[in-house]
Amino acid sequence: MKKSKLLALALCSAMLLSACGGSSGGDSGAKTSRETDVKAAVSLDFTTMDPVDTSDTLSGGIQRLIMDGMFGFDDDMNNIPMLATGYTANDDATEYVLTLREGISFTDGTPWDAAAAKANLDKLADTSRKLKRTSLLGPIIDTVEITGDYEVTVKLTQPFGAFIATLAHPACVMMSPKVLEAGDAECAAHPVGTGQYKFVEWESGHHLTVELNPDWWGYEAGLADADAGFKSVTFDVVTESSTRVSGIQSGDYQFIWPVPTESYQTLESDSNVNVFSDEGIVVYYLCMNTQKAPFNDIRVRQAMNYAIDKDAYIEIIRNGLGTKATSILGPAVAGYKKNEPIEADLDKAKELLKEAGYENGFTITQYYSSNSANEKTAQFMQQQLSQVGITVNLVGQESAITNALIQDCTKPGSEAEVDIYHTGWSPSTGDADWALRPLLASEMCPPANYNISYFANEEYDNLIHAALETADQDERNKLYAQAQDIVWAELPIVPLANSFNTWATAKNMQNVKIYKDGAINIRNAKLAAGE
Amino acid sequence: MSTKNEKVKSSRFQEFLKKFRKQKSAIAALIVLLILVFIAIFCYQIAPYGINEFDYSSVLQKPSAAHWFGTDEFGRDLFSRILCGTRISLTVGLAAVTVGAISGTVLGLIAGYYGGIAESLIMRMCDVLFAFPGIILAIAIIAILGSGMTNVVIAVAVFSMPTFCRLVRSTVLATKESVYVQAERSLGASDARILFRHILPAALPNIIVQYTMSIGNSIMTASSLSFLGMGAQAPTPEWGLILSTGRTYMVNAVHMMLFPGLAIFITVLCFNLLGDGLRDALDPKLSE
Amino acid sequence: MVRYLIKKFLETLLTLFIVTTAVFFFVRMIPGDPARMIAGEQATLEDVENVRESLGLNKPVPQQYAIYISGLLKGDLGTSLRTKRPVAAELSQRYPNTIKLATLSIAWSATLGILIGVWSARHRTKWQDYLGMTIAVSGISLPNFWIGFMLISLFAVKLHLLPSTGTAGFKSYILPALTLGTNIMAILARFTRSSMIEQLKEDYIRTARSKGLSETPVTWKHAFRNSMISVVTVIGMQFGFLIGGSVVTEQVFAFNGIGSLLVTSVSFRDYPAIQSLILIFSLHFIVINLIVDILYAVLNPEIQLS
Repeated sequence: MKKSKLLALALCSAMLLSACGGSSGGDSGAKTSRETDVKAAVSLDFTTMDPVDTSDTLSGGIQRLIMDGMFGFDDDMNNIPMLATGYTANDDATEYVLTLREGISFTDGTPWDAAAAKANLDKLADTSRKLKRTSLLGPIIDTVEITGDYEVTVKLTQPFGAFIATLAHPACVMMSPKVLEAGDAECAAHPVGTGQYKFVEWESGHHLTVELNPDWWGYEAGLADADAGFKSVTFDVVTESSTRVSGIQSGDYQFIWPVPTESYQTLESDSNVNVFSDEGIVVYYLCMNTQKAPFNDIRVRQAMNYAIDKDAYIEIIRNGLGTKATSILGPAVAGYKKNEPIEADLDKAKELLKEAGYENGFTITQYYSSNSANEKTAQFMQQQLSQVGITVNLVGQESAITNALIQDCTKPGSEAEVDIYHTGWSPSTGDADWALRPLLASEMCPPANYNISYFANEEYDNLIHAALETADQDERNKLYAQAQDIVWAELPIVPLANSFNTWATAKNMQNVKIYKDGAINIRNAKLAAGE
Repeated sequence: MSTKNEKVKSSRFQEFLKKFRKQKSAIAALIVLLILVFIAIFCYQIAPYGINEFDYSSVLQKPSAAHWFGTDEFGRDLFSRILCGTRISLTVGLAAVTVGAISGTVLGLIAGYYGGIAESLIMRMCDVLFAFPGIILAIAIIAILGSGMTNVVIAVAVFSMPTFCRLVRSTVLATKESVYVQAERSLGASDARILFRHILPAALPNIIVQYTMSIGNSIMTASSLSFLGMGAQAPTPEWGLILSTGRTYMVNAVHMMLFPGLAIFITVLCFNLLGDGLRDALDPKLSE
Repeated sequence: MVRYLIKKFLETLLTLFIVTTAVFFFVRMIPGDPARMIAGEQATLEDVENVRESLGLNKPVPQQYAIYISGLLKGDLGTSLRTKRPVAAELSQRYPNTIKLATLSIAWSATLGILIGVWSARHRTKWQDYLGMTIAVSGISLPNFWIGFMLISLFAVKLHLLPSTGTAGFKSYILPALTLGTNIMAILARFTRSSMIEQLKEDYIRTARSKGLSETPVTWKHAFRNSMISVVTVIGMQFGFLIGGSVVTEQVFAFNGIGSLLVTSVSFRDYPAIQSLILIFSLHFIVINLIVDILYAVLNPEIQLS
């Protein structure tokens, strides 16, 4: 890692020396990366280009190509300073002083300075805007003060230890103040940042194109090799996954993600394609409604954990691309604590059910949003649970209907329709808080957020709230470890698997990566040498 | 009077039978369809494996002696599942189109024959129904009623109805003014007599052609609904659902798409061939 | 004729108004919350409420209807809830694609379908007939998306001849147009054949034949002209179906048309987009029907325009 940074610096200076050398690499007539237009296929449509109004990983990932945050991630999703160079916080985590990187401009010429930072933080703090990510920092930021040309001081309304982690959230990338002034509609359509790429065009439902910003500050800062980057990258929206696979096989695309795990092996055996997988931060798990019979009995929840074979789940549902979940967080998330996965044991499961008075099993309903992946998972659960006498009725519906039924349920847990629900969660801040709190804190039961297990445990709530009230990372880790132990003891969920991100590139592509959170990372991507 | 009518009727039926016997492909299709009906009734007895017999050690196997059509993503025997899917697809196709055809024909007759407000109302309703693309109407109906095969039947029936309605109406318009009907009317024949003795028989060949086409169509619409996640509920072995699941494995397990596709193809083919045969045998103008 | 057209025009307006109103209330009857869909499955309640307010969905439905209708009268289709861009802009990007695809599909399928139909009818019960009808009956019996995937796996994956997706250039339209047209080709071949056979049996054809007219002019000038009435009806109906029915095909080929936009809009409960799309679909259908009605009159002078 450090080696490559040094190398990058060396390359950087070499490039600076040969300043306007221009076509120095064009000896063999082969195109260099920076002369190449690249086409990629993604699985979903982009929703908006306004980071504060973005709730999907895909749009967020594209925005991160165009705009940088004050903090960001390295390839392994460690928090690194980007447009900020550092910070200091007071002890009770209510005041943060951010130092900004100097000598950078937005691609429209506006300088990056304390005023620009304030404009962006003010937008994040503005609760009247009603944007999708307004709730992330809106209630937390109190005031933003310019305390130097390159320094801002942020006062918070409450202690918030996850502040720096949250600033690395994709919603907190910095946009040119000129665009911010032009209004939310302009932000949604024509983003301008300090990033490695510049926004070119976006035809909704079809494609989005960005072009290289060769003056990106990151080259000098050693974030990328001097020759990395493509002339332009066009992301086509290809929702049908087999079409995406055939697109990379036929050479229509140089890069696709995600690769449907069903086709992973096929692509592996294709000599024109490189296919990759890497553990992501999404954890798949099965919620059980802990406030409703039979899951209000810990023995039943234990039995469920023994009944479902995680190896089979990974093999059949994830097509072998996954690892057994060891927490409700992925190992790459800050604050993660490893616990031992519960191995399948049908006898134990049956025994526990008998103890709980369900010797003859019971009948439950599993709702899911209809698509072939969910359908497959639902059938798998049905089959697994049938082995211990539990009958599962499957109800697949449009996602809007399932969402209304599950997340927007206003009834208390004991009356909610949901029995079990299969889902996955991506803590997009890379911090334990944004999984442990929304998924299992008692105040986060639907409709507030995603505690579909209706888990309500006072000790657990206290631990995760205490962790928010300090900026001391060691202290936070300790509290989060205890909270994760409670999850393992109380088992409001059946932890299943850590996801793998999967992607494929043409043979001549290099360094195309997917961040652990599932967003695209082409910071260092280029054509392979000799091509 | 009535005996004479019956005589005409029975001789017509005999004539139809005589002609139908000459339609070799239609008879072949009828035999295949009868076999399919037999399969539909006894599928669970015939099938070599259970339709929900999981075998994680043999997923996505290519066709073999043990599994004629291969296995699916859970190692279930595809042949057994497709056999049992016959019942579902036949039921959906027949039920939906029958409902659609009867209601459409009645409305078409009324609209074409009586004209006036009735026609305006009915045709306006058809326009409105047509204005919704079929699949969207189906999606909307299912969205409101919830998914499941009964609602698929209702959805498909509703959107096949206006086609019958228009078709019948246009035949009525064409025959209403024919010299023959004019003559009948001037002789004082009742509306019912004209409608059912003259106009409906004239429309029948077209109705039958449309009916057979629609059965195929509705089986395919059901599979399209499954493709969009609105059709049959897993783990039902509905052909369309198997096929749409198979699309995930298009690259590495083509049999998952091939066999349910073939099953749909053969069934629809037989309905169409049978319909053609019936049409040729029924056509009153066919007599040399 | 003029009076007839005026009457039809007024009827058209009425149908459109009914459709518009029906759809407006209909989409709101479908369970599912656009604010939730747009905020995201895992969004907090606060986010969802923020989105609801910013989209104006917290206003009473009658007020929303009034806003919609008054906008519509000014030619404003509203703003997409999902992309927050004007619906008209979304449509103008995709509409031409779907029309191109539909026209291409109907062009090849109508030409080939009618030719096969006429050919089969002329050579009734000969091998030509059997061949033609085998093609037709096969074409009608294949599920659309199955054809699409088979074409992709053959021409795009195995042979690398044609692109599997996109709307860039003529080449990328070939596979979707083939997929979309196959059923229609078959339907038209069968229908043309039926009506041709019927026509060829008519008295006036016998008369023409007995007058010593050769078979080709009899087929084309007389029988074909008269069968065109029903054939045109079917083409009209199919064209309307095609624009709506391209939903599945567009999905298979990731084709950026209004069919795939409709699927996305419905799943997001993007009311303004759904309303506008249905309005366009119905407009199409009504216009096509009007043309068919007029053609009826031109082709068959026996039917008077009342």
